[in-house]
Amino acid sequence: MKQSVMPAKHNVFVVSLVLLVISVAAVFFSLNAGTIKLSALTMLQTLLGYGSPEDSMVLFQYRLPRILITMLAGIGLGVSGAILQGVTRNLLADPGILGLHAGASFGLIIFVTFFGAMEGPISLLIPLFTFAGGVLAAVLIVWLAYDRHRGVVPIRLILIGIAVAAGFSAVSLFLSLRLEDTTYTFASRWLLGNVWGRDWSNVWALAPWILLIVPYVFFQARTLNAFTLGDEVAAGLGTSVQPKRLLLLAAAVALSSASVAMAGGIGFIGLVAPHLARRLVGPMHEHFLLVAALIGLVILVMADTIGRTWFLPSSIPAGVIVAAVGAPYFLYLLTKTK
Amino acid sequence: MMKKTIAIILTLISILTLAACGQTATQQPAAEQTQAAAQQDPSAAGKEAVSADPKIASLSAHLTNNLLALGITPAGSVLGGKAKDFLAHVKDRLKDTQKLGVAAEPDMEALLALKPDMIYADEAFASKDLSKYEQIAKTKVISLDKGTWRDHLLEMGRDLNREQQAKDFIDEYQKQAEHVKELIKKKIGDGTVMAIRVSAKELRVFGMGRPMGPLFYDDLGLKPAKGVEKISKAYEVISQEVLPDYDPDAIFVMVNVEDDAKKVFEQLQQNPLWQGLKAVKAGHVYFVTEQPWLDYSALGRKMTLDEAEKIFAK
Amino acid sequence: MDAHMFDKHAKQLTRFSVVKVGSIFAAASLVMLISMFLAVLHGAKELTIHTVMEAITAYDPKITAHQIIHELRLPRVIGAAVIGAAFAVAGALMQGITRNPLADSGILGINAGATFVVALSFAFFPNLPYYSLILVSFSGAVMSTLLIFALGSSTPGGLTPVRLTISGAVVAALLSSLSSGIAIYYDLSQDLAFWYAGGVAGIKWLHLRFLLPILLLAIMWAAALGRSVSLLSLGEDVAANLGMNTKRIQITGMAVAVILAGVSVSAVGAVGFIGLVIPHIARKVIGVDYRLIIPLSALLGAILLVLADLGARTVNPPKELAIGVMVALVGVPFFLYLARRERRNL
Repeated sequence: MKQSVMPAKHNVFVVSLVLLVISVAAVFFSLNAGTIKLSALTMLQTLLGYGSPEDSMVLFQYRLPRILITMLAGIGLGVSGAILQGVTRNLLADPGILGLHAGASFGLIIFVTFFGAMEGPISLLIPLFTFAGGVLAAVLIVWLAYDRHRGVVPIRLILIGIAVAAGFSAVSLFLSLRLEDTTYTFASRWLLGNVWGRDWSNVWALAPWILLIVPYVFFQARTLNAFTLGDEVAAGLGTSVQPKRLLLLAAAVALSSASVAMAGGIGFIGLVAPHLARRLVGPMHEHFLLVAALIGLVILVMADTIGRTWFLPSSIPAGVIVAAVGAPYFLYLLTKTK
Repeated sequence: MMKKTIAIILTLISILTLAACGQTATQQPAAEQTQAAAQQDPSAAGKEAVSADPKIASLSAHLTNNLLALGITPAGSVLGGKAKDFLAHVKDRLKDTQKLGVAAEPDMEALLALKPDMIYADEAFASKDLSKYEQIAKTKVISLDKGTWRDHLLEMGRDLNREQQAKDFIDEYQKQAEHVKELIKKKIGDGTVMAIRVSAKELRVFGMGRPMGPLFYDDLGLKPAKGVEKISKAYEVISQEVLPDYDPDAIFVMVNVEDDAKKVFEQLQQNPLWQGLKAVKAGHVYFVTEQPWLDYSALGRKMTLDEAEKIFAK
Repeated sequence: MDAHMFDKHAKQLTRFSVVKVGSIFAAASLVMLISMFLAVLHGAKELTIHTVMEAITAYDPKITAHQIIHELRLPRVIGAAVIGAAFAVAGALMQGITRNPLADSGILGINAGATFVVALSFAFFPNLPYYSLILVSFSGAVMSTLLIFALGSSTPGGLTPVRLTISGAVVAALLSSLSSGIAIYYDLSQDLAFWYAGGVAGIKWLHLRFLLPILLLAIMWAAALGRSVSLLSLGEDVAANLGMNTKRIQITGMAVAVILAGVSVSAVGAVGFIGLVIPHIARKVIGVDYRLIIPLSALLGAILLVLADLGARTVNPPKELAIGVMVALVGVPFFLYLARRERRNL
């Protein structure tokens, strides 16, 4: 691992501030991207509540909920990846690669198989189903990777995760081929990371997961630091290793499953965001967790904006854009780490 | 060195792939639309009664074609077909129609900018966003699974004060159907028929459901080949092995254009199983195109009859 | 010297006597023939054993039942057998060479590479003839393999099994994401899904004339590499100490594996898990000597795919399930079991 040793406090502060500005800029950019063009002034007026009914409808009903979803999901995926990297002590960990997304997808396919469509209020159950799928995948992975003598060995976790992901994808493919055409189209787009949640109800369904769990993780920054140094050190520092690890793992699963439920199977953010963050402010979790969350936000907001505006009259799922940029970066990282 | 090159190549591949997709995308509507929208009077959406010549947005390609059958050109419509465009057989009638994205995900903003007086939506796609449509304009939801295209056309005719046009259209269709029925009878007598679709990976038999069933077995009064009547859906995937079991006197063949289907069909034609079919021996193999044959709308059915008439008038 | 050393190792490798090995192979061949016969016998159309025997021994092109057997079932079953064997042998080679128990053409991204290029050609050259499509998807498989290995070996630590698996999984994720993006943009989703899920229904004599020689030659080549792969599977140091050119064997072995997997994927779509599951079973049955594992994998792979295809078309006749899915239903539980059992080696 790179040791850029303890960056100065103000460095962290400056980076966070710059990122915050970039995030705000990205959100504004996204707010203004769409078939209907609004001038900056109109937009500002509308945001302050003085816009025409049409403009308010565009901003508050079409664009804002979707952007909030991408913001929350970006944060969720970024932080989830940071936890997984800390817990597994592997910088290549990511909820997508570890098979959590495949589990969540399986949950979604089960949902559409039984409920047929995503109509009305029943759609609020989707995060629960994806969470159940994510937990199922996580339990399987941990169970399969668990060794009586050595506990959960991090590198094994990743290999098993890839295997479990392959398994879940196969079963999902089996189930999805039996779906009706329209449901199939929806499901296959979802699997690719199509930001699906667009209503305020979807925002309310996602927000609590992110807003409750992310602060908890921030409070656990020191535990994550200890994990990064290795189980022995963590135990030596008085951290009860296994229960804490499972708890943090559960937090990562919850964050990624909830994000994925509303934004689709988006990979690589959980990998790229913590990584860039670590390069910017160093390896201490209390420093880089916030930065990782903001980077995740910026990536997803931009990817979704590009996906829905560049390819008119069609639209490309955000997950495809993220993968197109994230996967090469991942492979680059792979060739660089020890 | 090596790593960098690989990283760069990978990134290039990804970007090129994306760019290749983006390039062909048309980006024209945005600017024009907003202008057009600005010129319209900005009265509150969704509250107007249907006027004599309402501005209609259609969120289903089939409903668009029903509107065309009533002599109404919708102001905006979702796309249909595979070429990111309107269905080929009605494209020239929709020159002035605003594109509203794909049916699975209509472009809400384009719809809003259009300021329609009325929106038609297909139940299969509309359910999730219905409340949003209703905020834009009065929205009528039609289920294509309930009733025939005649019912849909009549319902739309009533809504739009064009009931007479709808009835006339149906009467004319009926007359033409009788005519085509006679033509077909001259060729194949009382023989049984079936329709199949060949794609690269599978062979489908069209069943009693829409789009083919109602046309063949109701409107044209043809006799389904043995086994077809058991397929209540639109189609069923079958194995080539059971093709001889149906053994129809006439067979309609639709070969997919976009994939390897042509090769597959050529192989099928070489196959003694195919050559042994009654229909093939008697030369009663008729090729049909995907559109308008798959278009289960008033206009689509009418154009399909035209096609059938052409085939059997020879 | 070399040969002598090898024999010493081989004694450790082989746990079984010649008689036992012989009877295992005889049994596997018998099971393969029986499953192939069953597969010819059963199908969407009911036929009697008598008709089947007659169609094989005294073929009469005028009888429909004979035509069904001759034109549809025989090429299909033979195709399934040889492609199953090819996938299994490809997996065995990859596992031996990389010493990675989880190596498989699906997991290593080879299938995704083929699909990606096929998606590209569907979108931009929609009317490619069959042979070009096979060539195209094969080149996709080669490209993604080269990419993965270039990535794996350009790293400071070299090509460790873990690195290989991870880079394979990521390349697979990237390529399948891009193919789906293309599929969505060009409205190919359903076409591609069926291509991806795989099937041997389309295999005719025409294709077999092309597939059979390539795949059988490659399988024989693989079997000939068995001795070197065995040594390699003991560890590169051991192999190098015995005077083996490990790099050359690795490259040749991977080339053969890519030919096997690439050609098979192009013919039937992305059928995963065979290459993963079968070599493990073979190893369990016959020990760790790849001279035996490779031919036995070929037989067992043939049995698995023939039976999977039989299942795919008899579960819900006259409809046919995607064969890739059938194999996955067998493969996934086994894979999980394997992951659990093999965890000590990971």
